[in-house]
Amino acid sequence: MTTLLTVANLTYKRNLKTILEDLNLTLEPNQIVGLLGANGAGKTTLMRLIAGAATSYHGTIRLGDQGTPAERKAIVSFSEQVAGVNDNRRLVNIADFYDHVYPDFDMANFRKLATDLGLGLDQRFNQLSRGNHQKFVVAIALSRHAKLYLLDEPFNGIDSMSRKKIVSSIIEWKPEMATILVSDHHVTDIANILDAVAVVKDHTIVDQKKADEIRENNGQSIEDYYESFYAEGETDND
Amino acid sequence: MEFDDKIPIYYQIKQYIYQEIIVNHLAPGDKLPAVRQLALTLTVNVNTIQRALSELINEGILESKRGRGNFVTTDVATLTDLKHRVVEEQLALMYDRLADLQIAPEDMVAYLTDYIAKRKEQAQA
Amino acid sequence: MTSFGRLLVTLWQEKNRTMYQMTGFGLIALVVFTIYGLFNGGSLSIMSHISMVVFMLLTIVLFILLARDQEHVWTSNKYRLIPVSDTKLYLANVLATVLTFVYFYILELVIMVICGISEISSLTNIGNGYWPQLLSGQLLMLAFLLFGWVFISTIHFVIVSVSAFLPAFRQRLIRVVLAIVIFIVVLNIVNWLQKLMSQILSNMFSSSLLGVSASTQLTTALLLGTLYFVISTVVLSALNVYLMKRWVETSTKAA
Repeated sequence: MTTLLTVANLTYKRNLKTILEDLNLTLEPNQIVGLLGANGAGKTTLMRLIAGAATSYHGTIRLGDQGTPAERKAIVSFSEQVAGVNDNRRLVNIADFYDHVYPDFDMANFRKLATDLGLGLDQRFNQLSRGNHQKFVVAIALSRHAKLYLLDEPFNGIDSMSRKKIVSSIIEWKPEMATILVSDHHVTDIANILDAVAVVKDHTIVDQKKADEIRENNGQSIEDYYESFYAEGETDND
Repeated sequence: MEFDDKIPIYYQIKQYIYQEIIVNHLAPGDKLPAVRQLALTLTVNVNTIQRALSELINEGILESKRGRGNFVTTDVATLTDLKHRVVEEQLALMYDRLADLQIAPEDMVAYLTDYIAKRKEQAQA
Repeated sequence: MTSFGRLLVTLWQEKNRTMYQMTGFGLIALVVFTIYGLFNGGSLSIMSHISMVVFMLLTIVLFILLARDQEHVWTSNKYRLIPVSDTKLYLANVLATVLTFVYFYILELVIMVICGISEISSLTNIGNGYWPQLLSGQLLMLAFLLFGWVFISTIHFVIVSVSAFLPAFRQRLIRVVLAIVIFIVVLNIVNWLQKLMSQILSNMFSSSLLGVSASTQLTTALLLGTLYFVISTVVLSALNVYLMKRWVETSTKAA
């Protein structure tokens, strides 16, 4: 199987602080991978770098054979693409914007996703609850026919019904060969749908393992495995 | 369905399908739901379902018909085998536990007979 | 990849929403002030004067709002994750700002002509023979506004780029100080560039301008001014695109 994403020796500094250092990550096609780590460990930054929202890094980020940042953006669907929407328009009108500027955006899929998730197309963006906001973010992200989806903390601070609906959408709408990288600091939400996990700690990825290997070889639950990294020493985040 | 997160999910799904076949929720020749549908029903990854199904196909429990889906085998011998195997696994588990308690095989039979009688009474009461 | 045309049209439509809102407010103000004027014994002809004042205020407000919209694009993921090169995004955004303004200008002209319909004859009289100056005057104004928007972007980009290398501690204070320093520095550089250019250009043109009429001289001066601003805009834009590619990252806080 050819590799979808290769991140090698990635280092990123900002405001005189090291945020990521010498980070390596490989993703295969057709996977759902959990990116686990405490708040502030660098999960969002890693996704921003892969998506091309942050640019001043050292190291290699290669996505298939896509070289330029613009080519990369064409096949990565990052949940943060909704960040910056700050008006009171209806959801369907905001989706129209994405339909216009992303050639791979599928409006029909968006309508189905919104219905599945229980979002009203006539709801106004500024009036969405936290749960519905997250649902909308996921709906926009999954409405694109991308090769790599980056979902940053889609379950953060939402109720369990919304969480279940989002998990179902991920299972149902992931295109056949696409890979989804989903970050979370509370792995139990998504343990059952993960093919593999990568743990972020101390500015880097400390381990990357297949979910079934963790269960089969270590006899551990994903949660125990994840927590074992943070139990060893003090957590380094701010 | 609730999964035990310490045991590989594909393995638990296999057990689940075994059970469905043994209790005849899935009869011989029945078509299984589509892979994605199963994934949604069980809230697991499509790849996990695929792994479970392909192992079941290798075991001969399921038959994959190209373009039409997966069907429970109609081969009676395989299904009888399966039932024996699953029952045996449970018995093996019990046997090992009791053996750990240093209970002799003859006593195990006695304990089991007593226990079954007790459960019957409880059920009637 | 997203096509340039599609991106331009989408951005233009977004900016037009701001413009329609402003024009709407302007029309309400126009009606309110006209009614007020009529009750105080004025005639309907005051509309032409009121519309001119309203138009001037709107122009200033719209300039600021369009600058805000333009700067929002540079640091927001909503736009920066669109699959186009930074150069194309930059050009599309600036061009969309200009197009929205031109569109606004045309709309306002139509409104002003309607408001001043009673005095239309005098308007055409003024226009006679002065069209070259009027037109080049408008061009100069547009070039000046364009320069203004691009200049604001430059300051924004330099602040973002420099503050990435300063400690996160007291970022707000640092940014304010930076803004002032950079504003002065960039203004001086631009000033110097323009002086340099005007010297070059006046040397080129002064000989050819001898003996032509005053109105032609005015037109030429206006066009020259336009040229200064256009060249400055191009130079600053090259710098902007460079900074944008290298250092200007999207903001991490949800806007």
